[in-house]
Amino acid sequence: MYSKLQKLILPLVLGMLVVTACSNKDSQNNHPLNMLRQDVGSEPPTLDLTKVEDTSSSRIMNDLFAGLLDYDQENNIIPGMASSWELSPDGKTYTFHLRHDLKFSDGSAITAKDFVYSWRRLVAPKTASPYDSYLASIVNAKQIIQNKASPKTLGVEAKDSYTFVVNLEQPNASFLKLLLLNVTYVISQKNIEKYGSSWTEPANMVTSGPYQLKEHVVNGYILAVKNPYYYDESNVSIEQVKYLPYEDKNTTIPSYKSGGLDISFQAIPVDQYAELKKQFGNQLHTVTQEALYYYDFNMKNPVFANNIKLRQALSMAVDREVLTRDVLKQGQKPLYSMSTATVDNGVYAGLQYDWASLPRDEQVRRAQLLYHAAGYSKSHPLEISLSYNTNDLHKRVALAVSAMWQDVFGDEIKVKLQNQEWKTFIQSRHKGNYEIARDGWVADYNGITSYTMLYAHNSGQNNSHYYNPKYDALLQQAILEIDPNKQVELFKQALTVPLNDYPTIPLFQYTYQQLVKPYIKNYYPDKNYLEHMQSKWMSIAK
Amino acid sequence: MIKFIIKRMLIAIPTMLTIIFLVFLLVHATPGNPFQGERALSPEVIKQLLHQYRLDLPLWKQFILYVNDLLHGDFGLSYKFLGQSINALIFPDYVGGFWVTLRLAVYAMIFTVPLGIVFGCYAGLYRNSWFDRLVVTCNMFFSAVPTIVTGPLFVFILAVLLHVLPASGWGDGDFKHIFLPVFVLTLAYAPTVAFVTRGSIIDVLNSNFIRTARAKGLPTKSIIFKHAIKPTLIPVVSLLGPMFAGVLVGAIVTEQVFALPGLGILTTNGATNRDYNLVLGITIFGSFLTIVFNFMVDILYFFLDPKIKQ
Amino acid sequence: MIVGKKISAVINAPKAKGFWQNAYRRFWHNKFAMASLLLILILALLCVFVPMFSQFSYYKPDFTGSLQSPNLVHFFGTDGLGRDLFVRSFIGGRITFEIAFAATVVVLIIGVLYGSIAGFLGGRIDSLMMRFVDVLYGVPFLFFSILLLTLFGQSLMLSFVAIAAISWLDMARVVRGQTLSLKHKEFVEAATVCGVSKWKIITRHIIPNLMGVVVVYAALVVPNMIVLSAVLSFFGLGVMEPMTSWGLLISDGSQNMDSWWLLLFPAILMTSTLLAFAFVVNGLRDALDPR
Repeated sequence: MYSKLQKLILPLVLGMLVVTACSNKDSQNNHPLNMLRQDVGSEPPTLDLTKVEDTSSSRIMNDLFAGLLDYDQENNIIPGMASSWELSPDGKTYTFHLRHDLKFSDGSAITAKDFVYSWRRLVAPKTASPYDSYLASIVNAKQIIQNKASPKTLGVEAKDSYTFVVNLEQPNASFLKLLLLNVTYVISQKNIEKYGSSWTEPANMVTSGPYQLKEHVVNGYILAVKNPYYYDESNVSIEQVKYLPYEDKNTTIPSYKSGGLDISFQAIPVDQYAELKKQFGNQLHTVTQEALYYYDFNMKNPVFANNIKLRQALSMAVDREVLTRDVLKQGQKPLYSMSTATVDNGVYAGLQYDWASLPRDEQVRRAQLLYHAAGYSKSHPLEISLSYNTNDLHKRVALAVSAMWQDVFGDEIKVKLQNQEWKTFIQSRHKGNYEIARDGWVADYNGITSYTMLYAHNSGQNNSHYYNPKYDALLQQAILEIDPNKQVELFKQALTVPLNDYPTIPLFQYTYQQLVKPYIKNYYPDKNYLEHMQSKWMSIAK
Repeated sequence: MIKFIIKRMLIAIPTMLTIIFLVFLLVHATPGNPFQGERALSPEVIKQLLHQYRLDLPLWKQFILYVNDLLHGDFGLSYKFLGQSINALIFPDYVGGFWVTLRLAVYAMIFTVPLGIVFGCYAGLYRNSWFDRLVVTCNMFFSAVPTIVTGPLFVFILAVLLHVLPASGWGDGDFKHIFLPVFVLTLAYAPTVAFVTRGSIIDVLNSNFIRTARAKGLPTKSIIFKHAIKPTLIPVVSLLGPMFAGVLVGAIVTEQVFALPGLGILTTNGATNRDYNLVLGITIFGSFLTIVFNFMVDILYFFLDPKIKQ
Repeated sequence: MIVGKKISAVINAPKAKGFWQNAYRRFWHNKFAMASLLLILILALLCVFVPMFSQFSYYKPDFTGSLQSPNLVHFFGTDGLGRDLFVRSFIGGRITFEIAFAATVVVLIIGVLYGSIAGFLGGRIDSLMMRFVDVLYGVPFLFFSILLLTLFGQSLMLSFVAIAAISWLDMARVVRGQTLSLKHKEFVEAATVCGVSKWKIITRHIIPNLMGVVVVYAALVVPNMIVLSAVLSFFGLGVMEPMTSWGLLISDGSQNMDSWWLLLFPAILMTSTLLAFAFVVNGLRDALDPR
């Protein structure tokens, strides 16, 4: 018996040693020199620039590609691949002058023709990009999107190799701001035509930005290395960037703590915030984000459709100060308006509910009066459901808001919480299968028109299905207005309409959090409201 | 022997077809459009996507085309990872997807089977010793407690409290990262193997032909190695088939607990992302593997058990 | 004289007890099994009464009291939303038990009926029915449930259907095996000869005689159901907020390992329940089929 055991144990032990030796690869576990390791929050659904719509992929695209314009760490426009540009007197034609030294990562030259190709690809229905209508203000774009015209008719042309001309249907004050989003960046026609849908594989991909793609392990990591042909290559300090798709906090935080991660992704779990702030102090950055958090009323639901008093009452009953200060505790700003306080440099910040500055008990009193006037009481209570998708933040807000309603209206209200998985949730919301639903919107660019579509008729983002023709008319007027001061006035007039109509309950302006290691230099996120990050700004101190 | 193989295959094929059909139906029965994202898509884009994924064809046509693709080894395109072929996701060029799950499962089996058999034999031979009781208790404990409990518990002890190992992640597939998941998987199955071996060796040693051998005066060593071993292993082998399938499925849970980039994560993410094709593909592949493995075990069984040969 | 003694010995011999009484007696003497049964009963009672009588609600958040470690007010501490973990653990237990028992009942009914019908009818029908079982066996359960739940939305009902739908297979197989051996017993032949309908034979004669095996199997199925529902909740499927289950609590706990109590208490509860069931099953096996 003894020797039998011995006979089996020896090969067993040997086997185990061999197995572990084989898997013990040369792993760099101490901080690798000049490599930035950043969490991007989830596995990017695609690395095809034209089809990107989520923040994880976006983060990577900002490093791999570049466009006409660049931006600094406060989202201000600076020259990018275009060294200068002019606007025609009628405000409808932009002429961009490209640098002469632009090259793709395979060494081939980037010319105006490549921009023409890239933008045509964006609007073409065949590409099926979720951002196809982003450049809708360009001549013929709308027809192309509806498949009524060929992408070749898009109002852009390459006057010569270094001159790129854009023709707009009408003047658009925010047009240049649109170009800060990566879907407008330049991609290589040759590359895509050669490899088709596998152009996004590391072996094939040709990039135009500071970095190029080296390795991609789905659900593992994405590795990018410096693109030697990038026009500003000499100012790019970090050699390699590794993007990690950590979906849950249990991976990100321990990884950051143990030195496996240099920068974390947006959201810190709410209940760990205080603890992390204590532990990491300045490493934990909280930045106001250009994004709204609000609740939709289903304006097609008869309970809400014709009862503005009810809507106002429910909106007033929410204590936004307590919500942001005691429940969320992460520096979010209470919101009493239809847009954020920071958009367009805060020009619209004053457009708030008139009751916003009233003391809380007065708000509650008025809310209760309105509620009764709306027809609800103990004998006739309101029963509604509040829908949200499975997520810690949404859960908290929903619990808090329903608790507040309970506090203010007591037995006169019954709130049911409905939690759905993400995809089911957006379908329900889009179709109007809800009563009150949680909603949010991250601005694509720093302009008021980022938000105005949320209330516009037939806008795909108008989940409350709100419709007021007065608003749509004023909005159109504002968009077409050339004089900037007049335009601001018109936008303000337009936004006052939904403000007084209460189709939604604005709650707060988002913040995002990031843990950043102290040895990451030259990174100043605190005014980066749009959260457009670029690795090329940073350097690693040793 | 050949008859046996053919017979088994005849059962396997309709099984596979039924599974494919059921899952296909299930997946396409969902209402709504799988491409819906937070940003509303223009109708042209939706039309384009539906066309790209053959969703604008009648259901029966889609099914035929799908089966046809399967026969060519093509699992189709992913819905979430737009344009990416599912084959590339399940069988990538680098260590990911199935290769990770396979590694996990194989390592787990490498430790589970020999350790289980050895410990089981030892326990059976020294019946009622402390070791035997340990084996029986372990079996009871680890059979009852699922990986979703043992996994986090061990992570808590070894990673959070003692900081000896990383809490999760695959790293480079190096020892540090692979140890805990393999350990937890082994713990889930080795005690059962040990228990069954133990029971089996006890039965065998009490059987007539062993008694005869002993009566004849054969040395114990030779008894165990030459005569007892094969019959002892028979029940163990019949355990292996379902066990390997269980390990593969257990790998899904393990991958979730430890954030490993294998088929498990692909499946759960695929399900939450409504990536129908991906989940369909993985389900079919998983069933296929199970059938193949069961088949191989049946053949092994054939060689071990003389009674079947007749 | 000797004959008389013998006769009186026979007359005065202790009465042979019935099968069930013997089984009961054997179980009663199995210390582990009895202790485990007691534990399960206590846990079940706690699951019923703790949420009823606790001052804390399982769903009302208290944002000022979040993540407290165990103390005299909150025996198990609080979670990230300030909810009392003690109450939540037992509400979770309630849900877990409800799903497990409900699923077990369904599994019992389907499995016993299916298996006994297949076994009794035999021949082609039996072959076909068991072939169907074989096919279903090949379906990877976890994938299927994940698919079902994501496609048709979260619901307790659906998760319980998913679990039950796959688990009746084993029961059916076992019952069929037993039916096959019972089929040829004399009392069944007698009944057939008397013209009793097939259905009545199955329900009145076969099934009652299967009960021994079925009871053991049912006791085995319950912990399996608990584990399966926990695995599904671990993946975030089936049980919806603010309701919870042990699987969900464990999953939450493993996401917040700094707050060790969030993981430890639900894990201990679930583990001890499962172990207790294991002992009870062993005890039942020994009691009903001693060797």
